[in-house]
Parts: sequence; structure tokens; C-alpha cells
Amino acid sequence: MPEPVTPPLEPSPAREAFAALAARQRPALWRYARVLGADAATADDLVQEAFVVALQRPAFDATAPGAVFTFLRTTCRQLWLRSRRRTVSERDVDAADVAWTKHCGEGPGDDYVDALRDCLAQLPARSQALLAATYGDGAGRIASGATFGLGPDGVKSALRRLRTFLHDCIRRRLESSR
Amino acid sequence: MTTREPLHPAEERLLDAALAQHFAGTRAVAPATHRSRWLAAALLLLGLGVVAATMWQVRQAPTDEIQEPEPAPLPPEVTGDGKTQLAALPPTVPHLFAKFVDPRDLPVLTRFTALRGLRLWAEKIHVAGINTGQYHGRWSSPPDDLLQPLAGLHQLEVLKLPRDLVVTPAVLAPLAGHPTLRELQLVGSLTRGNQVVDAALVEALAAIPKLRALHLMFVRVDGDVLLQLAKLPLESLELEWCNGLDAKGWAALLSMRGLRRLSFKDWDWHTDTVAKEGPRPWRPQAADLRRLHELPQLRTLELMNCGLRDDELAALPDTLHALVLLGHELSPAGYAHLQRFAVLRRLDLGLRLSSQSLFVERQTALEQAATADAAAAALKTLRLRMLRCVGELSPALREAIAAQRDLTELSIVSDNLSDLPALGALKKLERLRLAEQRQPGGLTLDLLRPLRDLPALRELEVHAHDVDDAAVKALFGERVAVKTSSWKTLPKR
Repeated sequence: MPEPVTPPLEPSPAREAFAALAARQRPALWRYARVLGADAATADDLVQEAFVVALQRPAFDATAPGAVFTFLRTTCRQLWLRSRRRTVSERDVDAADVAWTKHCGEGPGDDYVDALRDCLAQLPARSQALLAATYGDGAGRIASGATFGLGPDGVKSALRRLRTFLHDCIRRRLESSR
Repeated sequence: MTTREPLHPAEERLLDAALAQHFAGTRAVAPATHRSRWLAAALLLLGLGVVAATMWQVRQAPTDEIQEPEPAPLPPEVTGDGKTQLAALPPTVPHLFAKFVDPRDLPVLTRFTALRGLRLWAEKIHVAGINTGQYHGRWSSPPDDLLQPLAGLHQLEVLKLPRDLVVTPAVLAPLAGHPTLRELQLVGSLTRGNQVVDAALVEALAAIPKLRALHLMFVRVDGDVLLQLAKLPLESLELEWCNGLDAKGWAALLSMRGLRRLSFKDWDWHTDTVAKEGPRPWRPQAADLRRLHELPQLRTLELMNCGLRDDELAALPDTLHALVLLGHELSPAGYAHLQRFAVLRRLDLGLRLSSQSLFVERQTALEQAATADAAAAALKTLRLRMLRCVGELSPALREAIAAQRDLTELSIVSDNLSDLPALGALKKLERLRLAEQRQPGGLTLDLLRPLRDLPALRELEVHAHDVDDAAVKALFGERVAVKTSSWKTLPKR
């Protein structure tokens, strides 16, 4: 039987502590869910359900360092596996989990996000605008390509180069900070 | 770099996800528009909307001074998992937690004619015992007559709809004119935005004549939404993990003159943005909170994880009967503002700061003691009937709790309860909850022994490191309903 999504109405200490953590950890957990292979909407559901699972454990010690994200990450992974038992292999999920640990360690991966932000700042404005148009709430990849004078293939090629740069830049920054 | 390791698809997805979050909320450069004219028009419409909503509310304001009696509390839920189980339950069940895979099975509920409370739950589809992870498609695309079976339940007061049900005006239509329904819960998904509260939905809600309480969870509640909701004669509004609250919405909220209860869990629940940088979402400041005085009926205010600060507590209306402050940012000096609430009868007070989390050190013992002493000083000026205290107690706070002679309900949640307040003087205490958050704890059977002498005690709930349920029950006998849980009995993950 799945965990009920609606938490009990009475606040518990665990819920209080988790609620305080939510704004901080939710984005990281969402990234983790995406790394596992969930699309954006499914990642949102997984995150929501993982928090609710945690919130419904009245005596979970939310004060033990490192425990909450580990718990949420494990819960998220289990929820993903359970929901995609027939279409996702445990081996693939393990590999995704390893990829997360490689770049983000055992925690929420704030260093990765910081590195990405620094690397984006190095890009010329035009490249930043293309990425914003692609990943933001813009008109979409093809329409934004037209804005930049690029056809679909041109956008694809430019994005591939930008992603390669970002991967390398992030890796260098993470290595230099370790 | 000479060679590059091949990237795993998961690494590509990590970059995608981080980029999506980084650029969330950004827009591609758009051609210049006549923004100022649109802004002026929007402001004019906003002004007209607020005036109209206010006039509407004034029209709705009750002129009868005699208040309707408080609804009787619902008994505990009875669970019915699926059509077969539900069909086997007695038809006199008053409070039901009903689970369905296929919403077309809802007609089984028509036999529960004594039903006062109903929580509906969508179960995922299982095939040969295997969870497919999918919900029945009729939850997300419900037929218009989905809730028709509930229309004949003429004692139904509280209805909680499942998250996966997309509630449209058409879905609510069968509840129009329902004679008793007073409370409704709608649960959405912020990212998917599948639960939209708009003029049409509010019109459908307005057709439920007794509806007075609305509980929204994971729903976007911006100014437009609250302007719409202000048209309803609500007495209770609960916004749990919603987002989008803004100044326009706050103004609309203040026009809901009939509100007696207002509950927030988090001012703004983030779903997909990296919150470390960028503009902070809107939240009411002290001046905004001071305007809660404009709600003449407001008696219960619940602020959970809202990070309330000293000046903001000072700004709250002192006419409140019930105040929930969990997850705040009060300094020890700030607790003094609690002394203003002379008619407060229920207080839920967290002693820890909302900013304390895994990655921030807890307060030092000295800081904890200062906080507890400040809370004790405030408590001494209050005369409470219900108290919930979450955090580390000091001797002064234990003494202040023990001096609350009118308490009928007391809940203490702390790391360690090896030193309980002397509760012997609480002759009216009916319900007591004691919970330890750390292990090993200090609460023992011997510490509970003096509680047997509390003459009015009827319910005792204990959560401790290692508690023997049978021994506690034997200690209190039949007179007290005992419920225990312990770290040892928690399910393993």
C-alpha cells in the first residue's frame, strides 16, 4: 500500500524540522530525481512523495547531520524504482546514483550548482541567452534559434558545444576545490 | 585536457536539471511592449476588484450576533480499501478514509448515509500484485458526474479530495446545493499546475451553500486566486505548502471579513528554483501582518515554518484565541510579545528557530536555556487551556507549564524528557502527549507514575526511546486511553 500523500493534519516535530529544510533540499532532490531518469513532472511528484514519506515518520531524527538528504535520496530512489519496476533496471538506477555521487558527493550537490553558476558567468552573453531561451521559460529551442539566427541544426550544434564546455568547466572547478 | 571520459546519460541529465533550475523563471528577450499602459490597466482592475470583493464581503457579513455552534469533532477515520472492503463496512460509519483504484467505484459510497467526513484516496493500479505506478486515467480526466454519488450524502460535512483528481467546475457541479458540506480540501501539484483555482471553480464552490472552510495544498495562490476566493463566505482558510502569495493576494485575503481561522504552512513553497540567489519570494512584513486586525472575526492564526520575526509577532492582533508558532525566527527578547495576547487560550510554541536544520548548528545549551526562560516568562502571563511546547525545557519553563492550571490539553515534545514538569496541579488536564526526539531518551515508566493521580486525565500518548506499551497501559488502567510508540517499534526503511 503506498504512503498516503496527504500528511496528518497535526504538525509533528519531524514535519516542523522537515518543513524548515524543504526550501533548501527540494531543488537538490529534484535534480537527483532527474538524474535517475524522471521527467520534470515525475521528478516533482517523486520529490513531493519523498517529503511526505519523511514527514509522516513522526520520530525521524531530522537533526542528525547528513541524515535527511540521505533519507530523502534513498526514498526517492525507492519510489522511482517502485514506480518504474518494469521499465527501469536497478542497474541503470545504480549507475545514475553513482553519477550523482561522482559529481555531488553524498550531499545535495551545492558545489556542483555553484560551479555551474561560475561557468555560466564565463560564457558570452549570446551563449547565455541561448541557454536561457532553451532551459528557461522561453519560446522553446527552435523558436529561440530563429531569434539568434540559427536553424534547428545550428541550435543543436551550439548547445552541444556549450554543454561540452560546461561539463569540462564544472569538472575542473570541482577538482580544484577538492 | 587530452582525453575526455565518456559521459554517462545520468551526467547529462544532471547538467540538464541544474540548467533548468538555474534558468527557471527566465524568459527569452521579448519585444518591448506598452508595459506601462498594461500596468496602469492592471492596477485599475486590481483596485476595482478589491473594492468589488470588499463590497461583496460586506454584503455577506453576518448581521446576526448569535454564532452558530461549533461543529462537533469528527470521530476517528475508518479505512475502506477498495470497493469490496467498503461494501463490507457498516453503513453507519460517520468518518471514512476511502481508497479507490477506479473512480467509477465511487457509487459504493452512497450507502454510507450517516457519513460526516470523507477522505478520498486514489490508489495506483496494480497488475498481478505489481504496482504499475500509474493512476486510473479517470482521476486526471474525471467525468463530470464523478462526485454525483456524494450528492445524496446529506450529513457530509468534510470532504477531502485526492491529489490526483483534477477538480474542475464540472466535477464540483453535483455538490451544488449540498445541504451540509462545510469543509473542502483540494490538493494539487505545483509544478504540473493541474489544480487551477479560477473564477469558474470559485463559482462552483460558491454553489455549495454551507461551504465555510477551504484547505488548499500544493496549489498556487497568487493575487488573482485569492481575489477569487475572497468572493466565498469563508470562515477558515488553510494554505498548506502553497506558493505565489503576493501583496495583491494579501490585500484580497484581508477582505475576507468572515475569516475566523487562517493557517499557513510556509509562506511560499519552492518547487523547482535554486533559492540561494535571486529575489526572495514575497512574504508579509510586520506592516502587512498588522493589517490582520482588519479581520474582525479572526481568532485562530497558525503560522508554521513562516519564519516569524520579533517585530512581526508584535504586529499580530492581540484578539487571537489560538496561535500556532512553529518554525519561527524569534529571539529570546521576542517572546515577550506573547504577553500581549491576553485572551489566548491555545498556544503551539516551537522553541527552535526555523533556520536550524541539518546544515546549521543547533543553538548552544546556553541559547536554548535563554529561549526556554523567555518562553517561561511569557507563559506566566497567559492563561491557557491548550499548550503544545516543542523544544528543550528549562527549569523555569517546566515551572511555568506546571502553573497553567486551566490546561485541558498539554503536549511536550523535546529531545529528552528525563525531567518532566510537576504536573500534579493540573487538575483539569484531560489529554497529555509526551514525545522524545532523540535516542536514548530519558522518559521512563517511573516518571509516568505520578501522572496516574491526574484526576481528569483521559488520554495519554507517549513516544519515547524504549517504552513498554503493556506496562504503560497497566499503569493507567482502563480510565486512561494510552497510546505508545518508540524508536524501537518504528518500521525500518
